[in-house]
Amino acid sequence: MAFFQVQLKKGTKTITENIESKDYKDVLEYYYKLSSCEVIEIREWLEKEKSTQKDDGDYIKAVSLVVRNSLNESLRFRLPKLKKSVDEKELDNIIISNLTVGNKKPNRIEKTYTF
Amino acid sequence: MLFHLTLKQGHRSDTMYLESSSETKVKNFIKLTSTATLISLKKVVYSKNLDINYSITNFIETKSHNEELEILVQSNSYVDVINIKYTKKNLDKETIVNTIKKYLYLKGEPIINVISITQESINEGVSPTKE
Repeated sequence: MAFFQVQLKKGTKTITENIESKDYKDVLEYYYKLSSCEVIEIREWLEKEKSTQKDDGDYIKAVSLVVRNSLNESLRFRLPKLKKSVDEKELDNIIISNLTVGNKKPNRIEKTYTF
Repeated sequence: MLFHLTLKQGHRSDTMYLESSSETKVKNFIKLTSTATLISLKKVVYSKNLDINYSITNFIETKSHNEELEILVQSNSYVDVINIKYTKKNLDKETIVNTIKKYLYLKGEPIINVISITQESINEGVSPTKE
């Protein structure tokens, strides 16, 4: 069994619901049978954490990243609260080791820092 | 695999999508780079906009579905309420009960009974006196 977050669309309204089901196909069937909304996205919950730490301001505000693969496909995201200890080269290495773009290892990374 | 993440530190939350080959690597990436806490991690298993497991269905949008159902359901050990907004019109009780029993679970247990179904109007921003 798994928990799913479902994003639905009704006209211009977007609705988010959480339900428990066996797999995403059953979630689709459930909404198809009962709801008049269109299912836009289904996300399976993997982890939820309630406790957070205090904002001490001891970080680089954010870094906007464009990560590309050899086919020039890209993944764009904004990483908030970058650790001050992580320099550009280290950030490149962490991205290459942990992320993919179109199932391929990244080979080009563009960064824009916000201080 | 595509993941949907929410990070939080202080009062501010940030949400993003990341692609990686595993859940562990996503967590590792955040742990090594950000001072914020990863408060939610989800795997995107279906997406129309991002074309993940998406297949064109016969979905037809209609405006004549303005009811919310409040359904009291029961498993062997638990009782809970399920709300469904914008339900299809003219659904009979049997269809609702069978669909819920077939597709939904309650804290890992199959739903064995639907105790009650209550219909509630959804506020569409229109005063009831004008209708």
